[in-house]
Amino acid sequence: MKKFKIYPIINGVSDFRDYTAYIENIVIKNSLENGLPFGYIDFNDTDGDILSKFNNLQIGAAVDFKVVQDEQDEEFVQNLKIEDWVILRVIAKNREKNGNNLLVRLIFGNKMFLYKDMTNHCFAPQSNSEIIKQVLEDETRGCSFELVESDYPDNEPIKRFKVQESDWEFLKNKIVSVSSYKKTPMYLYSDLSSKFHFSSIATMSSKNPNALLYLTQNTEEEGKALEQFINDYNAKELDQPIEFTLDIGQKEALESMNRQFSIFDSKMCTVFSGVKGPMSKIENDSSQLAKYYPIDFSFAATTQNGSSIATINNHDLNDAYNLLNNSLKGFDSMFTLNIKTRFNSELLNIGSCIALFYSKNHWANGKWILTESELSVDKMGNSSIDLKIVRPTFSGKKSKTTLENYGSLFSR
Amino acid sequence: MAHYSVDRGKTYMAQQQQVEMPNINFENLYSGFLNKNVLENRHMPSNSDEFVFRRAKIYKLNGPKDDRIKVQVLPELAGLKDEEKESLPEYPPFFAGTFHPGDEGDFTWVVCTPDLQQGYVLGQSNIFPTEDKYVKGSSYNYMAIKTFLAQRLACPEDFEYKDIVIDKCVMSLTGGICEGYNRKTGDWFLLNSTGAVITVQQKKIYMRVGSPPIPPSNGPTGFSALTMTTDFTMFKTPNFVVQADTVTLGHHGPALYGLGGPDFGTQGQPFIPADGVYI
Repeated sequence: MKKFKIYPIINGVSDFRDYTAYIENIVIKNSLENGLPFGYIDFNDTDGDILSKFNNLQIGAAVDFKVVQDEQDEEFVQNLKIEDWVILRVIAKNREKNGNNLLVRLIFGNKMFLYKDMTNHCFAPQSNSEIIKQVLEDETRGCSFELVESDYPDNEPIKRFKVQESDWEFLKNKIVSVSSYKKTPMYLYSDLSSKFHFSSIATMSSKNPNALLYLTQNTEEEGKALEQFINDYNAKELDQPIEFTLDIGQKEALESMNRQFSIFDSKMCTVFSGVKGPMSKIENDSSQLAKYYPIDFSFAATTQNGSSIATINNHDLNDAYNLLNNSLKGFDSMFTLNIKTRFNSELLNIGSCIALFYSKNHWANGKWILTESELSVDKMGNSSIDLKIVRPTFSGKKSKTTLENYGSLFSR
Repeated sequence: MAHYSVDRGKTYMAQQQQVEMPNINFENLYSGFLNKNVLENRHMPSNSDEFVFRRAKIYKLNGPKDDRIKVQVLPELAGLKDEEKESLPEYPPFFAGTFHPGDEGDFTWVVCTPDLQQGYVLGQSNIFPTEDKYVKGSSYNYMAIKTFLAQRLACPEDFEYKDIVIDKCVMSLTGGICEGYNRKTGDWFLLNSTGAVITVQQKKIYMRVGSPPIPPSNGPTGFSALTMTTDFTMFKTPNFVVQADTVTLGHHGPALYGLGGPDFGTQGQPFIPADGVYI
């Protein structure tokens, strides 16, 4: 099994062997909900001079990482394709009452954290994705970004106003919040290379998985099933996770199941009310299971009048519906699998699709979406990644699933 | 709502200083960019459903078939590029059946959501008189109204400042209007800066067009007026023309006769009845 070491390149200083002995900890974190990656490096600065090694380190200095093979320290394996990450903050704390023994933390992240456009704008009616593209590509903040992938949101083009706020605040609070794709929530996020994506879980799920995780492989039969699974998904195989936790039915997910809503349409002076439930396509083929939720049918029936409530006023009707749809992000995480595994750069790109093999014919087999990722490297150079992968539903063929008594489960 | 970048930065730094190593809460680092800090909490959240009051500068009236007004809400939309002003918010009047237009650049009150997506125009905005020199300018000028009515002999005795409700009082270089009523007596007044006035009072109705000479001894009347009380009606006008098929002056029977017609004698003129005029 190959082992890797991850070295930072700070302010262009790539001769990392000079200071890697000082590194105590590296953390890199990203999530769909927050959308911008960030992290920190802790240095054990026993002589109080670590900052001087970084060529006049300053806020805004560039940060990158290189990955080398553990046994052959100098062999470059890959970089993390990081672009436009900068130092955001430097903190030093003394460890002894006297002396220069310091713990120095460099906090870094996507350039969007630091570079902001605070100018006001009126946007002519256009699609939300076009506004996002326009804002990201604008160089007023001092740098521009690229929107490389976007669903075409459901919204009707109307004027939008960016007022007294940063570009990122505007996008998150006023554009993404009223965007949905085929009535499901949308996410705006940056990958490691600061390329932006505006997409829904459904679209992410439609992609080919770029990594494969397997949880069990104890028997020969399981091994064959895994082999078949790998062939089916044509994905890059990863290590077996070190730890995993399956979490079904979080509060946010259950509350998002049937959201009662009242929307006042100020154009027609009419109230639109009802219950927004999950959408699911029932398979026509009787050999297929419908998309099922792991929720007792009789309990689900009691939530038909609403598992939570939303009142929306003074919004364009189309915006109001999209706001309602976007507020149901909790449902995307009905199934949440928290996994700790060894480093692989594929697992740092949130929004990617991961093929999971649980065991032969298990209902959890299939595509999951990577929504959170946290890379940790300790002072010994050992790295691990904590992942959060989710899916809203599960399904399978009757003949090829361990799911039984599905008739008692809730489906739509 | 985000407010001002420099202060935002300060508050963000203040937030960060509260956190000590090594247990830095990274969500706090994030919240400095996404959530609302102390300064921002002075405002309604930027995506709130609730309406806020704002002053707005009128950019353009949409025109006779569309009573919405294109407004530049301030300070939110300050510093816009000219080419973006055509995309300013367009708000209708707050109450159906009303319309409070203004000239380009005039300030008007609007109620709108903090994201400016929906809003309504309320009407011309007043200043806030924080300095004494502005106080006079913000008054509807009770004394001028009282004098105006007195000069026209239309000011009731109980025209007290504390009782007069002013519904609208605006004045421009080309004219003005004041409409109000006495909340105790129900007397109602409508004044135009040209001197025209209509007032319906408990004991009098008075209408006038044009200004009287000031003082009255200065010359002939330059106005027409109608005064009505329960037992008295008076027209005062330089020219009085009645266009009617019949005119009845009382109901006493005899016809009003005038002079005219062809001669039938050698002396004097004949009397003939004035058709349609009765007394």
